[in-house]
Amino acid sequence: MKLFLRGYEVTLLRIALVFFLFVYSVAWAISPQKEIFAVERMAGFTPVVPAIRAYLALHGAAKGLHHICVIGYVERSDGSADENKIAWLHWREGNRLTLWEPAREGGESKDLLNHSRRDLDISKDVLATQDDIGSSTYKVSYAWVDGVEKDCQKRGKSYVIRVR
Amino acid sequence: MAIFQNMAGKKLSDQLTLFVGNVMQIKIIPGKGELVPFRLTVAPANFMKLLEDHTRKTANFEIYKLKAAAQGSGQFWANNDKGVKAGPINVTVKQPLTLPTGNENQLALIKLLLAESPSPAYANYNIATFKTGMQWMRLVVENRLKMKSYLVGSEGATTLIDVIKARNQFEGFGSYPTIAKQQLENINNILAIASDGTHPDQQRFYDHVSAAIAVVTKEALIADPCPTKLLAWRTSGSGYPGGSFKYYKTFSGQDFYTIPKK
Repeated sequence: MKLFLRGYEVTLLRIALVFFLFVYSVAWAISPQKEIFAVERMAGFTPVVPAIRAYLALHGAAKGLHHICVIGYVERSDGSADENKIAWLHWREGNRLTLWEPAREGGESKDLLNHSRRDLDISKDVLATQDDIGSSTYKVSYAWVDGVEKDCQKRGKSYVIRVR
Repeated sequence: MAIFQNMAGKKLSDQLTLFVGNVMQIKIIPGKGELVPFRLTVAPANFMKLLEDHTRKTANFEIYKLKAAAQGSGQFWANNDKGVKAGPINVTVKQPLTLPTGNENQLALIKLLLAESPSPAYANYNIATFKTGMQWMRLVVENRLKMKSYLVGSEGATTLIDVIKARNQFEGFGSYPTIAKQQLENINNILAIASDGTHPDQQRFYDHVSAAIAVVTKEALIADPCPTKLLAWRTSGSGYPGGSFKYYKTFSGQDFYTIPKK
């Protein structure tokens, strides 16, 4: 039995390993079956567009068109009937993915977006694989971000906002 | 009968709580046949300061801007020339709620809990549940300090601050005591509302900050609900951590994780 691998064999093995980890983490990161809801019809998120405008202003968005996608997910605790509705907002030009939680009755939806407790800078807060996240409270994998972005394009709601 | 209203047109409560520095804008709406101007009186004179008084003679109402100037209790009321009176409104002015600074490790943990917990303005917020969530988060940080392992980013840590500022562990806290802009603004916003007697959510935010302070400085560490110890949390719905972590439970807007014994 051969004990040592040649250079190209090691490279092939590495490629196969990275591919396996990528596919595995995509499948694990975001389930296509995840239940969604329409953010525009959910109290606590409305009015959506003014909230997005306030978010863009807070982040100093440049003049011009900005592409935003919002998708609402129903999160459930394991073994519990309790459900928790959250949304993720992807801002293409700002390269950000921001958690949006619903405001209580009588509250302002924009406050929860502008003071989000998870506002990810995709250029800094995203790691190559799930295993790189380790014990981090906030880092996410490329596969997870990619999954949310694609799911948002498919099942979420897109907005094009002009900043003047 | 003349009444005081807030600027949204809601009748002012007879008993208000404000914090030193709060500025309150109110209006006086005269009853039928009653006319502005009214003269506002504050007693004792030094605890609230009248900043502005705008009389709208045509529309027949008056706007006052008042500042809570000093800690204490007192009243304000207003009279017009015909002896018509609005009020009195009883006011208690307190010192703003501040974070305890005596222990730097506790202070860092309080700030972390405020930055990571869902906002009191959140639809599903419940003070009892979210206070327990803060206790679980404290357990995570304390367990990491005891574990001192690269698995939880705490190898070599000797203080809570070492755990909190460990690289890539808690968003915005990597250069503590400098806190990143977003997290710092969120913490300051929570503290500002907690001590803003004119804000409709003031009491919820005050209770939230008080809970974070109590969890860290006044209460003993609770028993760990997880047999293999709580060692990580992630914002609910933001994907799994890597490595050997195993999901334990979703609670108070966080997914909590442990590392099973081998």
